[in-house]
Amino acid sequence: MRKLLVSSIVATTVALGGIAFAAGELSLGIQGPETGNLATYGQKTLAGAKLAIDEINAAGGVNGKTLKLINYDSRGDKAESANIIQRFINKDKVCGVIGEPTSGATFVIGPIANKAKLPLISAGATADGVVEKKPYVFRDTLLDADGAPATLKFLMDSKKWKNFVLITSVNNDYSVSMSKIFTNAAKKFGANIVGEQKVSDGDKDFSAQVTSIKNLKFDAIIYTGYYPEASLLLLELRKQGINAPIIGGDGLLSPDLWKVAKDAALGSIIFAGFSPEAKAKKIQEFVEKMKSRGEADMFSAQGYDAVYLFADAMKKAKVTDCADVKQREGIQKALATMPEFDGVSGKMKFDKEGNAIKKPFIQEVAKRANGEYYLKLLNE
Amino acid sequence: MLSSLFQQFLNGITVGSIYSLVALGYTMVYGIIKLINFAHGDIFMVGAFIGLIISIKMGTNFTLVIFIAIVLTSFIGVLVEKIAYKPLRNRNSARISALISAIGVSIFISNLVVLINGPQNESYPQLLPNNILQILIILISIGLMYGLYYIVHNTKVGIAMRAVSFNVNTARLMGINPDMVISFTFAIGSLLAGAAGVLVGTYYRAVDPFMGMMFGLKAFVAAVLGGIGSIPGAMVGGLILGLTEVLGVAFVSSSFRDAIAFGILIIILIVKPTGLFGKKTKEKV
Repeated sequence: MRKLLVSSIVATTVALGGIAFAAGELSLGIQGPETGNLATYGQKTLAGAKLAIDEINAAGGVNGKTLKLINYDSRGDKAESANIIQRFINKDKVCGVIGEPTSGATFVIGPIANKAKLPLISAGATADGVVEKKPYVFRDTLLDADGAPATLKFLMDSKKWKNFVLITSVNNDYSVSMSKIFTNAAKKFGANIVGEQKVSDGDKDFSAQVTSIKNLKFDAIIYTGYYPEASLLLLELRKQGINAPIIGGDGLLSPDLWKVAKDAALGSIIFAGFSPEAKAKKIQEFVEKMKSRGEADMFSAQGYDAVYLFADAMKKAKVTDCADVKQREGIQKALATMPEFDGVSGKMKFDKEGNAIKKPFIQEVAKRANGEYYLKLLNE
Repeated sequence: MLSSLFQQFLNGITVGSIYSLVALGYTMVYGIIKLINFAHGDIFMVGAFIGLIISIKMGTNFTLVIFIAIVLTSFIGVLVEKIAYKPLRNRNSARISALISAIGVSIFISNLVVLINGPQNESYPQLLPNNILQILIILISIGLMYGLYYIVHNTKVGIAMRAVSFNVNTARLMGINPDMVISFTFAIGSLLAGAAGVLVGTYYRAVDPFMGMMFGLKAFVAAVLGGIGSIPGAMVGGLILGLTEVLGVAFVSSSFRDAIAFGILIIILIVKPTGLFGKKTKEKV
């Protein structure tokens, strides 16, 4: 009896789902951690994506149909991520999935989506190998391999800096790999790494490292780790009388950097995939609209761009029914061959593996007249 | 080169003298009641946070900040003793129970601070001028250690402390109230930890709720290195640890920082388990 009840409920749900399609909707899936300790990533991406969906529907939708966003919370749990992507493939039959802002979870869902020929755009994954050899998997994130060399070249040209000290956090993969990128870039552009120091995540005492570089001549310090150590390092540098700024990636991108280091953080250079200070009209409008939805940041910008990427591709492929694998192939083709896309997280184009080729937003920590710290955009 | 070597030594002695201050708390409590007070590192952290609150609310006068911080931490130290250790001691429970209780208190205190203030680093105001900061920290530490040495050797309560550490029951027969002495020991040890907390905050200009964990462990290593239970041992142990750490980072690699500290612990335990200044005690049957 119970079995009968269950199956009739399932039948009704499926039927209702069918009706929804008939009513003229195209759906996109979005998955990411909306709760747990990575919750900000998922929530921000979702907020940006929702804004894009609302805008597109207000402008008449895609191919005469309204766009619907289905979101599931993966809680930062990889097993849950795998379940969700299966649900998108088998039950919701979405046109594409925006997801997993983290590399780890995208490693899990990428191959599953690729096998089912479901286009996927990760709005956050940065690790090597996330998109490679998976034609249906894309990412709209700025990669360190693009961002770090571009930043170094920009600083060498605009600030005439030539000599650098490189400090790596040796127990942090992100830092170790970015230091390699910076070393190679320095070789390529003719910059000198005059000294190298090592620190570890969790260190509090940097006096020995700072004393070791004190007698070297350099213009700036490249620090490739995260902000908690960076802020302490900055304090130690100023204490020992070194006034050179530090340069780093989005690992430094947190207000805690200047909340702890205060004026010692002034002049620090941070490159990232988004800047709310950018003057481009599109970006300012996005920042304004996001104010009521929890402030714009890199993740919300990438979530927003991912929806527009899908919408553009769906228009080009004239998609009407995503249960049809032929139409999903069309979306994939449209994404892979898309000419330069002008997003709020910068102009981008996909390379043949599905990586977005983007320019970094190079920013400097500065102080307003009222004593408030902010990030001044340098390259515009 | 020479000046930078001198600077590295100064860096090492600065960290080392703060290790010594914290190590003294471990060693004194161990000397009196044979307990490794693992909550000591967190008392040190609380001292740093009290200093932070005082300097925000009442201005950045270093003397005032450190004074209020050490008074309050010595109260907290006694409170911890009364709540977490004394009931166990009175029931004659196994020594391991008190140790577990100490670990519990440690976890409780650090998480309480996280609950109140969040887990992030907090900026510490500049309380002392940068150019003489290290010298001042070293001088203050030496001053506090001399004060302790004076109390232990030249006052009545100091004599009582030494008596209790020799033999509790005999001391009791001599008319000493061991509970009073134990409370006093906790008060003095926590006072030094509180001072160390303010000094660390002033030195690194940032504090976080889990700073007591690693710093406490290192200070414990310093206490064992000098010979746990020995006051001069804790002072020397702290200095040796601070110096080897900083010189190791400067001339070998930073990834060895913790390896150096705990490597020393292992070597000491193998080669001279009683530490540099430790007395060899024969277990009487």
